[in-house]
Amino acid sequence: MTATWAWWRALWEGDDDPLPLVLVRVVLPLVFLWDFWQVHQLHLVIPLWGPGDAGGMGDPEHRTAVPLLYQWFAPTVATTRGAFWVLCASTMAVSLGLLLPLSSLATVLVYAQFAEVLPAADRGIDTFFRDVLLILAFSGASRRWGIDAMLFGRRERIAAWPRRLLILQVVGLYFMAGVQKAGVAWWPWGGFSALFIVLQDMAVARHAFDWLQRYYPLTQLLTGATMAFELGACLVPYAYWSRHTRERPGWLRAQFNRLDIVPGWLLLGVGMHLGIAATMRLGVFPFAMLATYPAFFHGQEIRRVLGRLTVADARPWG
Amino acid sequence: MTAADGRAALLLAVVFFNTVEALPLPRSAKRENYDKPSAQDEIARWQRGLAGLGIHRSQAQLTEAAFALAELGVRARAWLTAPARPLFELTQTGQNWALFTHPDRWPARLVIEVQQGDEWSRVYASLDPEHEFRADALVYRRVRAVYDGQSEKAGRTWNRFASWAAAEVFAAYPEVHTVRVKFIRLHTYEPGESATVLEEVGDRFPEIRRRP
Repeated sequence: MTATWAWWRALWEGDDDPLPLVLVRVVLPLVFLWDFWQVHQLHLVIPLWGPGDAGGMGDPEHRTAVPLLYQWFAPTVATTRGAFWVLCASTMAVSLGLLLPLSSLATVLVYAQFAEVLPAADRGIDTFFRDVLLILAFSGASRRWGIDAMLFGRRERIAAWPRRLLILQVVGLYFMAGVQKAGVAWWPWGGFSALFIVLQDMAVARHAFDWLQRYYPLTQLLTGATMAFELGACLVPYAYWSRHTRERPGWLRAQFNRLDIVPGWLLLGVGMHLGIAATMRLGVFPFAMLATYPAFFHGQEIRRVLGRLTVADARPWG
Repeated sequence: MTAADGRAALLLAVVFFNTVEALPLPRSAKRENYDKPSAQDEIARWQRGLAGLGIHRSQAQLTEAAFALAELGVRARAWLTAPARPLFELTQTGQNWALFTHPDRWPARLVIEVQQGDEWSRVYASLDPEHEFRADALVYRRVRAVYDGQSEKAGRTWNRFASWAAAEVFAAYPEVHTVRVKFIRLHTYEPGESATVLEEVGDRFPEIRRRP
């Protein structure tokens, strides 16, 4: 028991370069600000989150369990608009690294109220955003390249556990999405027909895919690749563990370190999300997921890539 | 107990409750959902798959077994996550990653029509480039989620969505006095099943609104 507890404790110890989480902190909220901007531009703030008497589709004030937002404040258009702008401001504050614990929690709580007002309009990716914000709130990721660094002092290192927890969160999402694909069309005995079927759904498809029969084998291949990517997510924590304990013996550990599956797995994820963005109308989902990918890299690895880009940019053309 | 122990204990609780929340157990079990065409279609396909493995059960037996398992799953999750439930609810966080779990072979197409004399004419139909009234809003992910979830069983939100859509039409077309919002049910065929990919099955849940 003591050894197991010591192992668990050690798993979350140590410090880390803040760069990966800073990138997540900056980019992920910007993706959602874009989404909120769309809500505003399409004149959907009130239809989605407003009181029923003003045309809100959730009709929150007449339900048995009235959301706290409309218990604490009058169910009026002004309340909805006020909450919406608080949500936008706190999301922007997260991105800027301003009072990160407070701004993250404020964003989670206000966004949670909107989720309660119209649950149908709150999707998995919105839940994921709130999950990640709760990790960022305690991460210290604003103490570098954030306003908090100017206000409270800059930190060269932050705790390592938030990045590890975020990796676990993303990997868990993919793996569980794969495990829950109980529809027979996702599996070989269902003919790997899932993507073909999904792309015929007019509520989801970006284009009419009535010509897709000609490319049916390709959709089968991509269905298989999606399952391989999602179910393969369970190997990622072991890949990190193998890297972390590189000096220890073991055939499997050695193979994982030799193959280093993480970059290839992430590349498959990038391909899958860009494919989703090109063929389906799932809004910010692919971009929000991609915004968390920096967490899979060490700061040094990101710096190396950015350094290469900088050097390449500095070279004269030709 | 050191600070490292405290952090490890907190993270253990976080990982435990979130893992249970993520388990592929159903979140609700309603018997009537298992009689829907899409569910019965799915169960029939599982029946064929199991038969291939030498397991022979009737569709009715598989339906009852699936529902019993679902009920058990719902109770188990509720019991295991009870201490963390208030926090999950306050923050609306969780680990429900059911994404396209059962590709729908009975999808629906949203159609909005206006009445002109005795005739109905379309102003919007999903993926119809000639009828794109408020298409930008209607395909926006949150709005799509509101109506798409109603195509199997229309509820209160479908009613309110129809009222909103009709109000948008009335505001844009002063000459229009009657609007109809409905689904057209489709059936998707895989290659080899039929010459066509999509077949229109019929209208569903038409809602008519008259200008106030």
